[in-house]
Amino acid sequence: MTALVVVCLYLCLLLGLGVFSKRLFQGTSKDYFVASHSIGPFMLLMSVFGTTMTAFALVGSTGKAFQKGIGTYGLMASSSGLIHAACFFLIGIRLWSIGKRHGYVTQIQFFRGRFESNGLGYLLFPIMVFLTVPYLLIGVIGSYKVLGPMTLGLFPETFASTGGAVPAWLIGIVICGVVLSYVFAGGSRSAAWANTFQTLVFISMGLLAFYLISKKLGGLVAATEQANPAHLVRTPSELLITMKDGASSARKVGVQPITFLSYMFIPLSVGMFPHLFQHWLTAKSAKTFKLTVIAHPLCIMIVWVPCVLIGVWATGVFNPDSAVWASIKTTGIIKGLPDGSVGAVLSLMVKGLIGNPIIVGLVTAGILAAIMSSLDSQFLCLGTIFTNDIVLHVAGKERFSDKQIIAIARSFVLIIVTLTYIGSLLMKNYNVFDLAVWCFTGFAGLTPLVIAALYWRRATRAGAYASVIASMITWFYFFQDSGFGGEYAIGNGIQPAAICWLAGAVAMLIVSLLTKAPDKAVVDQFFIR
Amino acid sequence: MAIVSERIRFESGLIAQRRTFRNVKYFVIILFLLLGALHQDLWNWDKGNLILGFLPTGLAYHAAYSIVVAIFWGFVVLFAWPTRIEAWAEEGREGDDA
Repeated sequence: MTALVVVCLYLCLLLGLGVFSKRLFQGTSKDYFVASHSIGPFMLLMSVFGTTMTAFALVGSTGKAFQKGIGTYGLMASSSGLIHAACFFLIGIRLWSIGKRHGYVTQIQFFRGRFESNGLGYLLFPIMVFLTVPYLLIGVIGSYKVLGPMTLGLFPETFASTGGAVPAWLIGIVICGVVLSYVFAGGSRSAAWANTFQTLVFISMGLLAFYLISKKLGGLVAATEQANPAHLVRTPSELLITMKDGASSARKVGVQPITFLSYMFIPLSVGMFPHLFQHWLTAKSAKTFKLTVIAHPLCIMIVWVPCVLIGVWATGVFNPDSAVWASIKTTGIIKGLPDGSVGAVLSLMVKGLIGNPIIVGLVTAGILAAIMSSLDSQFLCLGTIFTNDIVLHVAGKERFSDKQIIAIARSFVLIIVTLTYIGSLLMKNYNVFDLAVWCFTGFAGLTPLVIAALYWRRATRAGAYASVIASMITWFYFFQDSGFGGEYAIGNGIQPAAICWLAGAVAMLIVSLLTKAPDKAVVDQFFIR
Repeated sequence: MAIVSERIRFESGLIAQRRTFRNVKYFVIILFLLLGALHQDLWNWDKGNLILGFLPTGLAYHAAYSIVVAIFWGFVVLFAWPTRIEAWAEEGREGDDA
């Protein structure tokens, strides 16, 4: 119960921060959407990093390392250090400058201007929403996977059907409610403040959990030695897992080299994340990006190395024959964790190995911080693109006062939060990591569009349409083939992201070359002379 | 006459600066591709030995790789920063879409 109280106190603190940041809110739509371009280097780093690290980073990475081993780090973390920073440098700074020069607050405004096409905006809007919603779901589902096991057995009479754990519907209401409150209060500025605070919380709590878990396992050396050896290499192998009930199931461990290579396309997705675009635009100047570009790979390392190690260590801990497992009180927790429950690995390790409820509460708050620091930006960005790219674009900005514009954005945020909440309850058993990879794959497939728009003068409107359509058709084909969100690879392990990206790039190239070059005067507006 | 030679010196300085920037740019692209290749450390695939007694080789390599990547981006920020972009962004009048 003490752990739950600590989590509740953290959520109250966050609400307090929302009230504080509302006092800094200038009350204009520009401040609501892009914080009046006033965010400095440290806050930009924290908000961009906090936004990219969601449940996927903490809950997903630990679970995936538990399944696949150390290859998880190279698959997503070290490649992201290189590719994310490249996207910030090559795409982020340029989009910031174009956004500032032309007064854009959404990507769609930029694409409409660059390709002189309203229709492209209407094509991109539903795609952006459709791809962002799974990302939102990852966060809310991640919070179920963390708070559910943590509260197991606390309320046996009130929540008998969940074994005494706080049920998913209640967790969802609380998490969405807290995030909604501070996004409502101050928009982008509140999100930047909350993200900075939450990023600091989840980095420090992650390190604390890592230290305490390793200590409980007898130190770093002993912790790694008790792990399953198949998880310490990337060699593909099959492992027989014995469950609590005595049943056995096979688990594929390791990574194929071709999977490792094709995963390099997935981090490209940050180049098209609409919520990241919005964070880029909050920057005070281009120089503000410098710290983010350099420190982002290091921040990823600080968060991911401990998480991957905890996941690998869990392979020893969750072994029914493990001496560690026998020595800790774990009533109700399944030995030989099945694949469907890997999202709960971090939470189970924290609860099972760290006895102190205050520490358990703090670490759980840290995991929730990582989740909520992404949710806020995604909620906000969907409100922003709906308001600017649909309502104001169709009806005309002059028809609305600034206050009405903010009210429209807030209304759409509310609708999205409600839909996300319902969707997360329906999909609460999905694997957070796999769902995230599908979402990233979709966005990665769209990056040829933004790269061509920024660096290729010859890119045409028809090429832009072809690129979006080709990558999305490819994505949807693989997505439905995976059973709508499962783990999926082509042939010997090629990731769909690589094929979607190539489809988008080839379509852009061929169709642009086959169609009439765009008007030079228009293109000149988007290129530095 | 003095003004003309001053102008020529200024322009040739600008050209030299741009040439240096272009050379650095090519160097950065080569380094980036090299880092992309180094990410595929096939030679570590089966190595199960532990660095410092607790870090599996494959993980230790990629953790070190992250640090090298940060140093690379530090180099890029120092020597290949697009300085003109700021002035270009400020040149345009901010629209009022927001």
